[in-house]
Amino acid sequence: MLSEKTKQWIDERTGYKNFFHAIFLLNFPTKRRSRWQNIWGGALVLLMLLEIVTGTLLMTVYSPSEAAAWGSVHYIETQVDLGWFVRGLHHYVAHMMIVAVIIHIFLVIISAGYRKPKEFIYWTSLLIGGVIVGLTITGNPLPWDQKGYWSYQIETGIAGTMPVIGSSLRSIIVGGSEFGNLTLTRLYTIHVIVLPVLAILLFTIHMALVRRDRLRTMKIKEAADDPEIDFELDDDDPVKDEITQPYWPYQTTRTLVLTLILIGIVILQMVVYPTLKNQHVAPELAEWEMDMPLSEIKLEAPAVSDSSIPFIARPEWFVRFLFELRHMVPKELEVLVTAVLPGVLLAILIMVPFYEKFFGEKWGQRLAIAVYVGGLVIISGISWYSVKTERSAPDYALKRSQEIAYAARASWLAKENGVPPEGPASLLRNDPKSMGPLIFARHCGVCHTWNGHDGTGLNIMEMKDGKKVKATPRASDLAGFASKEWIAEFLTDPTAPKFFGHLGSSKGGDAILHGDMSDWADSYVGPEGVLSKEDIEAVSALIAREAKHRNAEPLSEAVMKRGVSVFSGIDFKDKSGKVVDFDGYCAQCHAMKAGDPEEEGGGAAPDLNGYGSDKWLSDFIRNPGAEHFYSDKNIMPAFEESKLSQHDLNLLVNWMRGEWRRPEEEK
Amino acid sequence: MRRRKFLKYCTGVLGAVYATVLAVPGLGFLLSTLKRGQLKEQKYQLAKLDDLEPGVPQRFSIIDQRVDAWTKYPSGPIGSVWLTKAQDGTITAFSSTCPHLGCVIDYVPGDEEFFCPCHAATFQPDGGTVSGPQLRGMDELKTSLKKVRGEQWVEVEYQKFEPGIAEKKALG
Ligand code: FES
Repeated sequence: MLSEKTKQWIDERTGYKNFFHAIFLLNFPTKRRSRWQNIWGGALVLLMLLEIVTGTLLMTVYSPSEAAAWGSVHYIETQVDLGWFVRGLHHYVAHMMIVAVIIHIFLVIISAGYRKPKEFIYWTSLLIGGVIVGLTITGNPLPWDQKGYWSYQIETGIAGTMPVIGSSLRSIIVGGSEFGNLTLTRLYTIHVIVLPVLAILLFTIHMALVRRDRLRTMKIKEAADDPEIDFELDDDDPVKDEITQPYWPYQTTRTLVLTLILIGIVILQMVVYPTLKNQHVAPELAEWEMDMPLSEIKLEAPAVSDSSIPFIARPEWFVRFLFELRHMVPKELEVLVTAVLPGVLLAILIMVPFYEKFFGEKWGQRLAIAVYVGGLVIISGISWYSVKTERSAPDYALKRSQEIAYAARASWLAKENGVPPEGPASLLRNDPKSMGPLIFARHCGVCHTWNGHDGTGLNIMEMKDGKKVKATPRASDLAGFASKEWIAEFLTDPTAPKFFGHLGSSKGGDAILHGDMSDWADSYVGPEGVLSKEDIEAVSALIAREAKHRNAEPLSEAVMKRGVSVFSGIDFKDKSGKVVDFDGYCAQCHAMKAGDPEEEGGGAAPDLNGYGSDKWLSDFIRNPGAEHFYSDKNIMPAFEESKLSQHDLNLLVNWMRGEWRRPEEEK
Repeated sequence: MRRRKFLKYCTGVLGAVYATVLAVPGLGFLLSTLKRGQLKEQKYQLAKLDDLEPGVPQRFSIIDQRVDAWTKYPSGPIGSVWLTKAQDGTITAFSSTCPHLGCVIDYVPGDEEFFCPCHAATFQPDGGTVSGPQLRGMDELKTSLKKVRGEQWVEVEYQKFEPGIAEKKALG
């Protein structure tokens, strides 16, 4: 480093030594009693510094706009070297700082750090705490993922309920009434400029005040120790206990030890958290194959503003109690809870220095401690209760699994395709795997089921005798529709509950339930019937071929021949292998070129050409009552363009057919 | 006084740990974003051989998808190339990016010269320098012919080069 002489030379011209002494408190006298207590403030400064450095790094990549925010954060997490570490540090250290502020204020109260003449020191530290909370609230939605987006909706909603200024405040923060690009640019401005500058200002004032107080104590002690000055301290004067030990290096070491411990906890948290975060997740509930392992999911799904992709909004943990209280009180009192209560809590804290005026020093401090600790216990209790009730709700695991599954899907699609210019939400909006179940649940789930549920894994419920019970489906279960197995099962027993079983309850359904297809099964299938199991399987395989499913195996010659003989009745052999006349052949009612070489049949029942294919399904859903489908026997509503857009119809059909991009195809 | 020394030492060590926790990821973070935008050379079929008029340079756009950090754009122009077929049928291709500072080089039919409007660089039809501030001639690209459905197509390996220097060095 520099030689003593050079240092001297510079110092004479700049006075830098004094400057550093002033800034870094090198000669800053500290208390003896509370050496380990006073380090929380210092640790907060070092953590803040860390936030500034990591924040600046993130700013070099992050892009605050609806179309780019999620993509840029995903890029940081997956492409930038150590990006996950920098972002994780920035995120979790912020939360750690809130914890540190809570502890710091507690230590200030038990060491009576708010007592005359230190009131302003105490108040500035409260304000700094407030700014830190503000930084966390504004930082969290920046990735514009589902979690940040919806929790910010709640938080700005809470701000909006404030009396008088609420709604204007909300629109200033949000940039209008709707969330969008302006919300993000404002959020970003508040997060990277407004609040940090405020924090630095407050911190400067705070330190100036602390310094003034320490120097004053030092002077008093010096005077008391100096025999030439006629000044004695009272025996119980707290100044007696103080020693004038410089801050550096005595306190700095402790401060650094604490800071590193806190950072260590944060790093541990970062490494362990992915598994913690996903511990309630059971993707098998939604019959969803995760596109990537849980541990690789770095980010929640991108925000989908029209809420077509479900997400349960949860506020940040430190405002959770407000959110919960809102549900606990009657509607008219909501404003009290969301807007007035935080103000009251703040006032209680601000008033602490005055407690002693009324109750005396001893009892005033006890009251302050009781209020602070009591408040924390109540708030934590409410938050804990809130989390617990949410987690024990019957569908919590399923819903959270879905959210994680969407996160995995979006991350995988972004990794494979990149984020399209119109934004990351379109990754999910144009994806059959993501949208199919939701469209099915909304449009088809009223009557049909999918493996017994509504496509998303939820059960379809209905009210019966004032109780919510699992609804009886009114139409067939469509999981595996038009596959070989599904058709074979259907042919064996069309009136099973899985197929036409419940149709009787609907208007016109009786005709189908006791119609030609069930009569056919009664007469030809089963031990008595002329059709063997192989016959059914062969004809099912033949029909299933029409759907051109993605991993359908080619049919063997023999199966094909047998299928055609059942379908067309030509060359039909009975169970003993004898060629017999078979009058239950399919082509009597159904048309299908592949099964009926003479193409003579069809007309009376749905056309099976292309059965289960894109086109067949789309046409059918658009108009199931068409001549070549159910005709006048149809009881299914038609889904015209006005009810189901072409875009959604394509997604639905592709999803039903299992047509979407999968990770294993890449290999 | 010994205690004071020891504590100073401790502060130094702990401070160094703190700084490392910040500096290492910080450097990794910053340096890795510098890798962005490296273009791999790729072949593009630009024109049918028979469609090219002998002796007249023609400009063709390179159409491809462009990935910018996290955003993937649909196909669009990412650059362009001047193609010339000599009288004897041999093909030469030049990147239309000016080797001076990267403007787009133009060609006015009849002038027999390539011309860059930014700082008035001119080039011969074979890419050599005529006049101007540029330190090297136009950047030639590798070409080949490929038969597609019975027709000869001109293929070009498109690449970008560092502007402003005498040496022809691929970007990245
Ligand atoms: S860029 Fe072409 S002459 Fe300068």
